[in-house]
Amino acid sequence: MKKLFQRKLNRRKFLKLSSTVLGGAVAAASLQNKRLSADEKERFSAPQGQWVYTCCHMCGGGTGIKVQVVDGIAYKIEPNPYNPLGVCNVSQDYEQEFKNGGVMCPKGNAGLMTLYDPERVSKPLLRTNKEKGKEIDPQWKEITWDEALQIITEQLNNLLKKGTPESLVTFSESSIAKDTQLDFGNLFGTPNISFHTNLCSASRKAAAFSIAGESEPLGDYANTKYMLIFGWNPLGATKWAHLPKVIMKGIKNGAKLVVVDPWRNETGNKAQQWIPIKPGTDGALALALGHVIINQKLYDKEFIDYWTHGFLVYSKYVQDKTPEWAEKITGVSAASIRQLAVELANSKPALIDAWAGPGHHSNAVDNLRAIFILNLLVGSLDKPGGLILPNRIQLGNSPFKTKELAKPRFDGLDNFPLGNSSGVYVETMKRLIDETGPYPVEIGIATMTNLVFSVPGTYQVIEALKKLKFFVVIDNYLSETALLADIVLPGTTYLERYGTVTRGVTWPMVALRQPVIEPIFGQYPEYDIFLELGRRLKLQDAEGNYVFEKLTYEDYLDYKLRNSIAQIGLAELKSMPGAVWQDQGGTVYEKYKKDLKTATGKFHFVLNSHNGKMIKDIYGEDAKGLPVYREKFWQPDKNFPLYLISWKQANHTHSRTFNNPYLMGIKNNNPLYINVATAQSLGINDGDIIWVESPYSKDRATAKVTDSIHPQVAGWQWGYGHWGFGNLAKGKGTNASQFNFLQAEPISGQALHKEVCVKIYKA
Amino acid sequence: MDENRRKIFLGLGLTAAGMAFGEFLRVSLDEDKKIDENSANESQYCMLINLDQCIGCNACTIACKQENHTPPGVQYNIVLKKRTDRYPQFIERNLPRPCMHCEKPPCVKVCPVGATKKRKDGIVDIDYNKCIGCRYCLTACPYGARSYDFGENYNNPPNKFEKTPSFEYGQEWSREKGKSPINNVRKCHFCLHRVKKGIEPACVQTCMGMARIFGDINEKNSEIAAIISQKNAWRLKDELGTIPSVLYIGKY
Repeated sequence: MKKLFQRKLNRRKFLKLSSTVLGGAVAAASLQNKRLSADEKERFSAPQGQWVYTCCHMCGGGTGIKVQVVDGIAYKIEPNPYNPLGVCNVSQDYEQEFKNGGVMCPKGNAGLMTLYDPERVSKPLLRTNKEKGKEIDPQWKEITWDEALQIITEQLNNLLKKGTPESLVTFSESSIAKDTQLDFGNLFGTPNISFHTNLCSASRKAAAFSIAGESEPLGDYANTKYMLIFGWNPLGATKWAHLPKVIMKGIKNGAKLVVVDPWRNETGNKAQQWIPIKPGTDGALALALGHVIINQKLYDKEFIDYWTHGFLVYSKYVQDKTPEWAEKITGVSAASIRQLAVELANSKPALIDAWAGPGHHSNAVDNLRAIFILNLLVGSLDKPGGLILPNRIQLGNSPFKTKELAKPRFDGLDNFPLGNSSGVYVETMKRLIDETGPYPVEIGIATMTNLVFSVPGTYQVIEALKKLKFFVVIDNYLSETALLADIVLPGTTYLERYGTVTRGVTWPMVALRQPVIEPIFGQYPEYDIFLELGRRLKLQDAEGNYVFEKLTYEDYLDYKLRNSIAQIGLAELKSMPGAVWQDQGGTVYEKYKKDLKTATGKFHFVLNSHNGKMIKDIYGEDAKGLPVYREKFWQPDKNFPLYLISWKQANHTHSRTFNNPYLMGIKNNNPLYINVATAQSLGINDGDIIWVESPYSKDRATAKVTDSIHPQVAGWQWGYGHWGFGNLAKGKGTNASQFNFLQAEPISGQALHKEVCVKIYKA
Repeated sequence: MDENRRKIFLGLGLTAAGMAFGEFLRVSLDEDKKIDENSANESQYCMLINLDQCIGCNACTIACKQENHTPPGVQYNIVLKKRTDRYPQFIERNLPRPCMHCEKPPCVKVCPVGATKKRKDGIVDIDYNKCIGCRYCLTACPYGARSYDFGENYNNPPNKFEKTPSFEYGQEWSREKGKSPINNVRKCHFCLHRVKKGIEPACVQTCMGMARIFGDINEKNSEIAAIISQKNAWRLKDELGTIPSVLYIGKY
């Protein structure tokens, strides 16, 4: 690792010298020898400009990018190889692969069309129509930033005067001004500062945590021999750009990829074997795999004896979880389960991973625990080619003393034994509608999040948000959520603000996101909005200091960086190659031999409780700490005979990239995938307009009749079907969220995007 | 394999009849004279696309748009998809399609003004200043790799990024009405302007599956030369005798 750092510094010097001619690009090795004639040198030197190293934020991944700025305009986005997120996820490989450069996904390549989208909100807007609802025109009035902030300050001040600061609840994307929102909320006095994770991977985090004391294990795909993936599409739902790279490298080096998913997604298309499964039954399959591996004595005995807790209880539990038992539940044949188990256990190293597929049903955490436990059986946790527990950098505390808050959270997060600190959005919405919270909530602030589309149950969410007496939305677009706001503040894109990225690789790293250009409408970046509100409200810290008075975000970030293991300030981080700090120790394996952050210091097959809260099964019965298989609440019936699932694909993030013409050019519709046999029985042809109906909504969609999906399942890409947002986004495809309803997974608080069942018929 | 490939050829849109039409219309110019004498260079650029590595994400499609500022309807690079087999054996495969930079390019033969030519380094280029926008080459190309710039923009008026010039072929092209490349035919040029600087084409650089390799096959020890010599590479619509400089390995 040391060698790498030296070389990188040398490279940087080189780049400084050469950036005027080469534009700071890492040249392809085979092309470097080409000589330009004097005449050509001038011709091909344009455009001149400065390259700024930063992090993407077209999705939450935050892959490293560099942006060329020419005459004050962001002109070109390219991969930043100094940031491992676009290269690979273990340091030993990074050393080798750094020279080949980084990579970027389609969304990252389309960033400038979002930055310069003429439909972005450019000025603060005040609602003049008191009535709120889907079809209702807010009758916006443009106001100044000062006016907008003053109105918000007055509203918030009312809560302070009444002594009910807890009546403020905030919602936000996870890597935008998270630190300032948490601190602002704390000093204001509300515990209800919440973030996106409980819509996304809270169930995976809970499951991984229950086993390993670490929430986000990362697969070492490049160096494995066997990848068994349940319900995750890293080659299609691209996030950190290194993922496709390391997975394809693993396959190229001889690894077998097996994908378990109701839909043969992009990852499934690269797999040697696709196992179509009934939604929400992944846990049963995993338990049966465990049964075979144990009964055929194929497990890693040494690893289990030394480093795990509860194996005997687990092995007793799976005794009757035979492949025949699982076949009835999952639809996967007992023979394939046996073959899969033997193959998996005989491949070394092998890794078993899963994300949102099994993770968005009511039995998500149990499913995911059963899946992750397979890694214990084959002994692949925290080993090369296995599922690695990353070492992550924690940025330092705030530069001031935070307060102890007395009030509980509005969303009842405490009721969830493995709840995620991001909160429980669906409970917040439910309690707003039913007025069943521990206290009333009056004010909401939503930052870079389109709750109406992202929380399952569109029409319920609209009802919930209407209950807020005062609602502020900070966003780049007049999203469907912004259309319910009392004040909309223009947001920034990632090219106009600071941020940090610390996750996605297995060794400590902090990558800087920095403004490439000034905010184009002169707007406040999101963190400055919260700092300014803190200033206007004269918030004090625990020691009575008016801490926001003179605090700039640069100083704030600088302090947090200095007080982390990086021990460098903001200016130093900016000057690091690629604006990235990496720990020279690199990826460390088998850390559990020294220290594991679980109650027993060992990996857990069994976990009865956490923080004094019993982990029961989803029907509230004693699960004896086991990853029990329980049927998910919703099952197809006569009225609603098809499972409805939804997914991400490479061209879009959540519901927020739908006004980007480059990305809409790839796919501007989300047809509903229906199996050929199912479609035939319903008299539906490919391309037909159909009705999709659940107990919560009914809407038109286009049918895609395909062999790529399980016959009992209908599925589609989510995020489409806007009626707000922008003119390009409007009216394209169908909103997948509307068919769902407000419900949380009982152990983690995860929102359930794939719980509901539907019927479909020709329109 | 062969049968599969034949299916693609049908699927690609332009038929041999289209090509014959182009041939019929072409002004008889000696093809050899269209080789650019000025680009004296011993390089021979080639692209190798490994379909087993392509994940079909379209990062290349958009990287290209960003690099070359192509407007709506102008696509230098697309990714074709082929779906085969019945449930549960179903599988979808991808085929990225840039310009093939043929050794015997049908498009060059039909250009009445000599605006498009085969350079000695293997790249088929278009001289925007010469192109009269007749679009004979569009029909002549058996791969559908060329498109016509009608002067549209994604935003009306174009946004700040769309207004910035592109630097294709090492020249500045501002996007203004009546000026090239508006009303010209446009296509992939292997990012000549980047290659000249020693940087890979944008599609190659961005590829997350590491499916693309670009290089000079005349250069000893180049990665591309080594792989072509080892692997069973194939060309799209090989039977037409166009001899593309884009080679594929893996199954479509």
